[in-house]
Amino acid sequence: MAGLKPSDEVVLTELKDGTGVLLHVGSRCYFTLNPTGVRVWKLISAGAATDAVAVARSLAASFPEADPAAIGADVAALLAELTTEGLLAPPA
Amino acid sequence: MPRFDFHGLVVETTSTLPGDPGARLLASLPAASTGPPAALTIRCAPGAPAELQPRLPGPDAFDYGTIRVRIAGQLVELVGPGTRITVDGPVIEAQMAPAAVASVEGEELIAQGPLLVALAVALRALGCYHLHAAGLVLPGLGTVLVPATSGSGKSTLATALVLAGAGFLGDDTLFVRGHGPSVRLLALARDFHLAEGAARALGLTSRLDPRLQTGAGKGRLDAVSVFPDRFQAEGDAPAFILLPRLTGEPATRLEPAGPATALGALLESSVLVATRGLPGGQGHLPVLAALANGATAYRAGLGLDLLTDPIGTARRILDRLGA
Repeated sequence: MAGLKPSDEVVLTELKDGTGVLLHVGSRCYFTLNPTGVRVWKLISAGAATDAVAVARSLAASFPEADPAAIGADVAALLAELTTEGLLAPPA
Repeated sequence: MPRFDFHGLVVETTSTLPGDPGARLLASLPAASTGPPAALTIRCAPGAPAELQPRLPGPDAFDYGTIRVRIAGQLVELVGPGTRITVDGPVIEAQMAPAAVASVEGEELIAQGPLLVALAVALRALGCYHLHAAGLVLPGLGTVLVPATSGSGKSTLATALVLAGAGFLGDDTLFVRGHGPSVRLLALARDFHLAEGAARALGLTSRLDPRLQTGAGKGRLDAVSVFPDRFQAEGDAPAFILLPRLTGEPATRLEPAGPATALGALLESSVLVATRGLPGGQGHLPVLAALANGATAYRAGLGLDLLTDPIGTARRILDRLGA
């Protein structure tokens, strides 16, 4: 899943506990994110990671105690769901 | 020309119909003095069938029940049964089939339906955002917001809390205005809408308006008259947000919910926040986030005890919130 980028119609609202809500202004669909999900979204929206491998690598560096394979699987599942919901633009 | 004071904004209404649906919508507001200029104007006039068809090009930006909304630049058009309304900045122009507003029931349905949505569109550009939510004021605890879609038990819960001693801003329509800690909840007093079973359980069947029902077949309760001195025109930013859901279980339960869950519920109760092309409203999402961040939220699983012992159940909720 390469070339990830947010849909132009999606707005992230960060909340006081580190969680966040993505709102798609066109479809009025919203999606809640836990703090790690917020971090994933910010990595992608900042252009710091443009594919699932890069996102997982960045997270694994921050969570050395976590199983890298589990991180990779969780990231892949999250990105697939965000793409299905139209929050991430489909990969080129 | 009737002039109303909507929380510091003067709203004028005019009508060339036999009645004035705009004045009916705003009837609960205090009269405005003749001095300040109007921030909004609602003009109602008769319309022939051909004049009540959509004129802006499609597709619909959204539909709100039977109300279809289209947008072209600054112009917003709402078309519903027997009416076509445009919102052009501070001017709301409504054309209505005379037959549709010939009765009190018909005028009420249009005033509380498409005309209310048009008002919400116009107020959004002035920094006042509509919320489909109940607002209550709990003595010693602060304001409680109950955002929810229809059929979630919101009005039953709100009425039970009022019977247990709470003040109220409304059971399903509020406006919110402001930034950060200065957020205020604003009331536009309307009848409470209670299903027959809920009204019976609450002991209020005899207080329902025998002449009128809502479009959904619920009874109307003039809460301002039935609960004198409990109505509050404005409230502080909520201390609590309750997210109601009917469970069918024996007992009502509150479970903590995070601010993201609260914001999600507020988004579901704010259809105008995410309507592509709708003019104004840059502050809408930040205000909702401020509400979610500033309150303690609970999922309220409403059990059968809300109907068998509504006041006792409401008191248990108040005890839990105060603990």
